[in-house]
Amino acid sequence: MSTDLHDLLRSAADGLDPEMPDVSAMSGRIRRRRAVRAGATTACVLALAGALAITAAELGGVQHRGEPAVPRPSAVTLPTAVAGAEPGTCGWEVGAAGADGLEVDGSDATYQLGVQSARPSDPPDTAVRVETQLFGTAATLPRGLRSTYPTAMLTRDGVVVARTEMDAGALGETSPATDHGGAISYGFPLAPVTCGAASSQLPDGTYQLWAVQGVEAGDGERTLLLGGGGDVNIVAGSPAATCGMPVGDLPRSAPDVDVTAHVYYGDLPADLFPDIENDRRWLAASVSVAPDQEQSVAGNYSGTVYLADASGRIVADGTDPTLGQVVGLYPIGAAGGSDLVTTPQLSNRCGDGEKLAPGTYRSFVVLDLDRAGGAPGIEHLVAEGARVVVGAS
Amino acid sequence: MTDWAQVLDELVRVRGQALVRHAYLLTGDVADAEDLVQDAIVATFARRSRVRSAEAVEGYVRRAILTTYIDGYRRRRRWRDVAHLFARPDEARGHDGSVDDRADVVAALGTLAPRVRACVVLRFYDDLTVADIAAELGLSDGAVKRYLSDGVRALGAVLGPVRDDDETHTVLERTTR
Repeated sequence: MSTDLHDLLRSAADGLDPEMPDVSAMSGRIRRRRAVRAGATTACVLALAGALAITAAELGGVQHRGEPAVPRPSAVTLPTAVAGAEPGTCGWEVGAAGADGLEVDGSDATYQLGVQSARPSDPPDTAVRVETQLFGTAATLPRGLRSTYPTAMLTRDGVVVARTEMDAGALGETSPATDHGGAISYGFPLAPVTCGAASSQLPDGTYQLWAVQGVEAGDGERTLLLGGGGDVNIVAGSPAATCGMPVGDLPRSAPDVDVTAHVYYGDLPADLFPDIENDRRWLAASVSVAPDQEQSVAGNYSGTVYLADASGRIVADGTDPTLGQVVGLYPIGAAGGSDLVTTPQLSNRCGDGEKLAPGTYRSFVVLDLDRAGGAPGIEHLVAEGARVVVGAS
Repeated sequence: MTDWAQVLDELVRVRGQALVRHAYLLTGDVADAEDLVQDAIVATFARRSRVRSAEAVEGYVRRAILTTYIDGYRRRRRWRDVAHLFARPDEARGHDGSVDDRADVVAALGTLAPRVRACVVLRFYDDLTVADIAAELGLSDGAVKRYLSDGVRALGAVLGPVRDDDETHTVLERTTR
């Protein structure tokens, strides 16, 4: 005699008398998230408007004078360190305690703040797109944890030279995930310069992206978390794409971690992504991480998929922001982990956005690793996936 | 009250408990299921600029439940980590077909990988076809069939012989040749 699976599952679920979801609590969270999204959009628009205004003024000046267009020296003077600057503000030296003695915690002992950047949205503006996620290091986030909004910063020589304009706000329930132990996530634009010369463009060069976020546990203990530290290569005001870079130049700095990757390429399921044009393709990856030696690989991982042509040059860059990074921010434990969930990702040719030409491409995943319990900063791993065959469409 | 707030109110009032029951089969815990549904609703309503009706938005919420469950599984895997302590194949009872205890069923579901579990719930609780499940989860039909086959086999190992359905029988026959 056997048992019917339909009956089994129905009896297991239908006998429940769960509480009705709290509409008022959800309404507040929805309003707050909608406001954040609207604010982020507004910031993008303002940044774009500012950039256009500056560009128009510069072009107008050149034309008026009738002078040939020549490279202009940067008009931006980056701020230097300011003694006693509050964490997250212009001139703050990353890691220094605030004036009120509030310590900055980059130890990842209890919580870890993951930070990643992407190229700005299309049409391009002058913002760096930033995503942050707050995890519990050894366990899920405690119920009732309160947090502020994160503040993202670009630093040079360890000093904040650009930061988000959004106020961190008061401690509060800022994410629905807080209550079930997941992660607290944000995505927002980082205006290029809010230190010294508002709306001006950062000089080209390599910066480090950090974020701070205040948290308060149920026992009232307050902490200002510090995360990130990865390089952001700014060119013309935006993170540079890696188009044309030889894959051998992809950064690698964590030899004690084994990483394997599986990369998928196929049709974008239109019904799941109704806002995306149906004829686009998607690129996604799952990654497995394991310790190469007896050393913990626990940390916060974020990844990007790249495709390279037969000559080894990168032709598709997963930092295309249209649908977000190919691999998001994920915590992994000391013994490693696998089956990172994939995220759909357009795989149009970087540089011009055209569809990839039919052919066979090599696939690579670059993982940025922010180790749990390690010194603040980012290490890099590279894994090659299977060949991706792109057909005519 | 704004448009989306009215739709939210109707959705929760009319379909709230059904959504939680559906989520419960995924999470194995009522509180987690309630949280999962709330997160999915908030994510859906926060993301979509226009929300027309409760009927229209329920599909998006269900998808958000699935993706949140599968994507967030790595962070909420405590249940699966301990599920084997509650139901091991060599301790399975009810081989006479008397398995009707909710804890047994949920414990058995807890032994499944998240995608397998999602496929089983969609097939045997929500009565979706293989093609519909594939569309919901962004998988191929073949992958869904394989997951269902694996799921039925694993549930049978824990709960004793289970009777599935013609569609899954076909899968089993096809995949075992």
